[in-house]
Amino acid sequence: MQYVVNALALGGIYALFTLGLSLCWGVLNVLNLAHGALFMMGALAAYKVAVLVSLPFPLALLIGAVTSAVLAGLCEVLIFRVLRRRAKSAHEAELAILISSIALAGAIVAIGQVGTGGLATPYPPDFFPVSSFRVGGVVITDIQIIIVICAVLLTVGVMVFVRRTSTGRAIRAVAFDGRTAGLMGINAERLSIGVITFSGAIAGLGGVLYGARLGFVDSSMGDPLLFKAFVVIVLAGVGSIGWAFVGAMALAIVETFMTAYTDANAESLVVFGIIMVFLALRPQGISGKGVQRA
Amino acid sequence: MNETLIQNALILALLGYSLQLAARSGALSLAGVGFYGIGGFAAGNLAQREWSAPAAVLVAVVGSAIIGLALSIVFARVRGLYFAMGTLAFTLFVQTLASSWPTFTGGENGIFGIPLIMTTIGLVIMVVIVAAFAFATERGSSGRKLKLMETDETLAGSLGVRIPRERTIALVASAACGAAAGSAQALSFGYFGPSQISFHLVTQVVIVMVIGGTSSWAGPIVGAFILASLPTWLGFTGDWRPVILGLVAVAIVVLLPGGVVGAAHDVVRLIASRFQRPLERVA
Repeated sequence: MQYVVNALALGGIYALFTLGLSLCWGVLNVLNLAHGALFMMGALAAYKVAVLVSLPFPLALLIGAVTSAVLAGLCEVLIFRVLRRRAKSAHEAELAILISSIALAGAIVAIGQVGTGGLATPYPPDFFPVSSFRVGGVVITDIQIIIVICAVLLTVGVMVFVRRTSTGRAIRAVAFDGRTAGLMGINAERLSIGVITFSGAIAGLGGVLYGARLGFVDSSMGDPLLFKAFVVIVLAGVGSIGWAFVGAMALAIVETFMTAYTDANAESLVVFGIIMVFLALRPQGISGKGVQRA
Repeated sequence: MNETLIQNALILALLGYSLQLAARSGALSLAGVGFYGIGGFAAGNLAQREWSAPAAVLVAVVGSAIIGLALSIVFARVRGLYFAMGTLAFTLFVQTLASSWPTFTGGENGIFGIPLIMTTIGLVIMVVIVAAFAFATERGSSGRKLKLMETDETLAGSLGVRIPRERTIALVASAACGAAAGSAQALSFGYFGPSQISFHLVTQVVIVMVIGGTSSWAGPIVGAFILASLPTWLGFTGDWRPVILGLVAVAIVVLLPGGVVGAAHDVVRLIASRFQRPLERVA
């Protein structure tokens, strides 16, 4: 039972990380490999402020989210949009944006290295004093609860927003066919900025939560999560928000139990084996409808 | 330029080819760094068992090419961003495996004391072989095929290009280059560890390709030498050097889509056309 609690908190982090990545990919065909770096920048920004002043935790979350959101918005306006306008085909635009995001990841992680001195830097002790409860023999910490609540709220929030609001309908239209959506009067460029900024904000929020759970910030903390997010996206299908949440939880549970009962080798082998099978047999994921996304 | 710098540049050039050989057929494969890891550990272990350098490199390269073939079968139906992310997942998987399989990789510490049996001449020979392959395949009919695949895969397929076959060849060649780079790294510097197979290295290799561009066989070599010598030029920026480097690469993607080599081609063409115009008027 203890494992289940730990796995749910880990799954919450995976879900938060995957949500933004999957949204950009599904809606805009932007695979932003700087997502892990943005995640780290959120944690770092909260750290930088927390060493200066004593900070209530919600404010730290806000600082992390705003920092990463602004960075993500800048990436879209200064780089991705320029590449998209210049490209001769959608395929060319996708690859150029992907390549630029890898170079960006290098630059942002390097900023993180300057910020942390290249080491895992612990948060000040009053940043998030973790307190734990005992419920029927199971230890639950408050940060685990906050992570799961944030993941559930954001997942449900995004699903409702995309399905129920007019902006959500515009997002689905752009995901289905950006050109036609543009002809129908949807301002796709403004929508792109919105989606990417939002995904940056979730990344930053996730980064602060993850940092608080670990107790430190490290410039490469986002990199391993890229692999997990890809596993989740392969299982769920690109842009599928609900399934991504399920996939993230399932992955975390499998990982936690396999690490507990077998050795870590077996765990990464099994996870990698599963995604290889999926890529070979069902590249569109569980929910995949082939063309339609988000 | 000292010898270590040249060795580093040549290894980076091999890695650059592992990315470029796949990218010029329109598939962005980030698996090269994974094969770099496989090649490095394979060659390192063989060298410790007193194999000669050519034999160790050959086994590492052929073994990786076979794994590359298997990978291309798995990825046969995967396209575009999925393909890029899948190959990156392969690289990150090799990294995890490297740190948790101590009998072969020395665990987190890596393997030390590999005999230094790779010479700079040997490295140059490897780069020349790969560059010659890239040069040969970008001429004539195979060059036209590649160009068409990069521009429009569906069109290429309907004109009779056997896409799956071309793609397999590109992936296998890419795997072989990655493994060559890894084995060269292990045998030149005597150490190979899981920390070397990282997302950081992926960004470095991408920067090599961005600087050199994908249009010409010379791209990876030019990109690798510029990247390897940048630290000395940017010495004054101190800790911020990697930041500047990343931002320069981003600027190149945005401003010089063909990379430095592509831009040089354009300049040459521009100058040539200036000289041609008066002649045309006379004619």
